[in-house]
Amino acid sequence: MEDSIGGSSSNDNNIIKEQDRLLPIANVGRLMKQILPQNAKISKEAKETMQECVSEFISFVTSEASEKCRKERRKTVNGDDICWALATLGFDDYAEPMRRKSRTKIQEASTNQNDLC
Amino acid sequence: MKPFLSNHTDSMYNCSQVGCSHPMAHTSYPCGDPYFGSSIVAYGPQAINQQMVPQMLGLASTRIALPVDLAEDGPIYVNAKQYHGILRRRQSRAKLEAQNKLIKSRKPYLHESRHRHALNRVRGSGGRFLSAKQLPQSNAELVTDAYQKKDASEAENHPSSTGENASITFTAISALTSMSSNSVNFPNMAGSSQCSGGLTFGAGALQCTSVGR
Repeated sequence: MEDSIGGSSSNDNNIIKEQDRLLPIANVGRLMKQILPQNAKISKEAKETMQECVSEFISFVTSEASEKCRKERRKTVNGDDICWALATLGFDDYAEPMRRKSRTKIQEASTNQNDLC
Repeated sequence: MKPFLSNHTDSMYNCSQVGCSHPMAHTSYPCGDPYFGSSIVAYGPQAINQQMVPQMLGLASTRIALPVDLAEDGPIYVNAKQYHGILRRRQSRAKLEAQNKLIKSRKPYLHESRHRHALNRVRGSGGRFLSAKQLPQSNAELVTDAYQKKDASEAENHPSSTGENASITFTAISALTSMSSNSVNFPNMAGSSQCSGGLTFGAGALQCTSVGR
């Protein structure tokens, strides 16, 4: 019964499945809805297009950060590398809020650690 | 998944060198030959680092034209900072397509059993699924109230499992277009209404909102 799905045999050919390449469309739709007014509608085609755009953007920024790690002979891409890649690619307006947000998360984790001790 | 790295990184820096030597010249093929030719002498890491600084300073406010072979109509000017990244991503995508690793069409559903289960569920007026509470009564007025009120709609969707909600969109499409359950082709959805469930696995409680084109 599972063989009736066209993509079920893709695991043998090591094909990258759709759910591995793209973000979930429901989550993308929910994020898009947050910024829109209450009675706005979002077409399915818009969500699919946004799925492609945001997934490509993630690969674009991660590729830049990974290239930096390759030059410095490091294996792990961390948050600072992503912020550096955003600044390098010209997204300076996003790099600074991301840096502050990641720093806040580190402080939150540290606070939780202190509470446990 | 870590993105595939380009094997022609040195040719990228050769493009950078061309850009530095002619900062104001916006030719159609600034890096055509070095990009497609593989006989480029590799630079040392120190030489590459030296080229980065003039690139940042000299090309702060200029735009470089991408190779036209990949563009259909005319040159496409992009941010100079993103030039190498775009070329790298193009090579990665071309590599994946060469290996036939990308699926072009989207599948309407992921799991056959969940799809069949959704097909067997009872629908009320407006095409919404009836929950377990509403199933014996099957009152049209009650379903209409649940359809109009947002809170009632959320309460209706909450008892359902994630997999069932994930199949709502394509079940409606399948019912509307009389599509065969074994068909993988994506139907034409002009004028049809669907829910915003989509292909989500384990995404928690999903909201089912009517979306029209």
